[in-house]
Amino acid sequence: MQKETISDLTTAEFNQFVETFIDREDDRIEPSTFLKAIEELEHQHSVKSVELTGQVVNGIVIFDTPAPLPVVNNTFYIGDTKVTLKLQMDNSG
Amino acid sequence: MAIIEVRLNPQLRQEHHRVLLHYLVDELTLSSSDWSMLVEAVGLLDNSVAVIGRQEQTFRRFYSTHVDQQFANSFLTHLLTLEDLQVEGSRLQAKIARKICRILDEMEGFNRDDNDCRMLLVYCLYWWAAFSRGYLFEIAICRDLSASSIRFHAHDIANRIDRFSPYDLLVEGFRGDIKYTTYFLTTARLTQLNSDFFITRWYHAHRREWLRVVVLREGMWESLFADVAVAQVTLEEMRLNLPIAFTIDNITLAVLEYEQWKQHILQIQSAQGR
Repeated sequence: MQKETISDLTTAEFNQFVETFIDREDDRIEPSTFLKAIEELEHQHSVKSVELTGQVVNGIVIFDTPAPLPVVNNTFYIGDTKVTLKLQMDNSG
Repeated sequence: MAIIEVRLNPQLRQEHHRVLLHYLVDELTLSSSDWSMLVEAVGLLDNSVAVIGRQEQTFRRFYSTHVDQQFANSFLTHLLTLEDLQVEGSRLQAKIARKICRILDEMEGFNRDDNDCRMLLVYCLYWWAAFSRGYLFEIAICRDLSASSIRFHAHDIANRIDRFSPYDLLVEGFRGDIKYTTYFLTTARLTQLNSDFFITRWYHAHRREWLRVVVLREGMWESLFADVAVAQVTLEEMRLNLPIAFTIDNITLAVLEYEQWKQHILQIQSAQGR
């Protein structure tokens, strides 16, 4: 394919690829490619930092999803550890 | 609602844009390095910004508000009622993907001629596909396990809190995850996953076939599958003639065909029942 980026596509081409993507079955990825990608990701992220973002609504922390960790209101999980936030509002200021 | 501006994360490089295009057009052209680059690109898009009215929203927030909160629960509830999950589920998934397109197209300021707007749409469609295909696969597996009379306990995906449990199911006291491949790459690190086994599927490009497989960590393998002969292979020698075992970053994993794994579990559970 001659195009280098999505911006190189005409609008008609972009629309066509979006339509094909929507109807596409699962991503076809060969096991060797899949496992090597996992290995590369493991090496890249030996120490991984993640960012959880969200909003506090009526004292409840609502995380944005998709999040890099499993999250529900006030709670996130790291492996089998469930972390529940119990924060007090600082009304002094 | 008007999109005033879309600002892509300045850390997105030409390479990221290239793999995003190839992923959209034909994912089979991606190498292993491309896949890890794609994961990085999507991570950078997370923090790109759409200015809606006077409010700045990261792409992640935008997706959470306009897609996840709008469609996720009702989609899963609907999926659970479908008889022909593959056909009707895929149709429903595509229908909602087109609704997502419409929501963006109808926003004042959104323009498919504009590359930054295109990236917002691609980001939303990427995550919707990862989410919906992942749960389609999970429900199909749970139905198959039930139909095969395997005793297991699965989390309730119709319940949002239960859905985010750290593992998807328990079989013989071992924790399992049901993961569609790309979702696995995007959301997981082996070193952070504590599940004992993963049900997933691999693609065989030559035969154009999907193969359901179970990836086992050493603990479950040694406890329940020690009598199963496996061939030790390197990632370069990877093959679809299973069972095999290999090591990634000092983590040893064994892979069996899903059907063989089921038969073995059934034998164990039958023996317990006698």
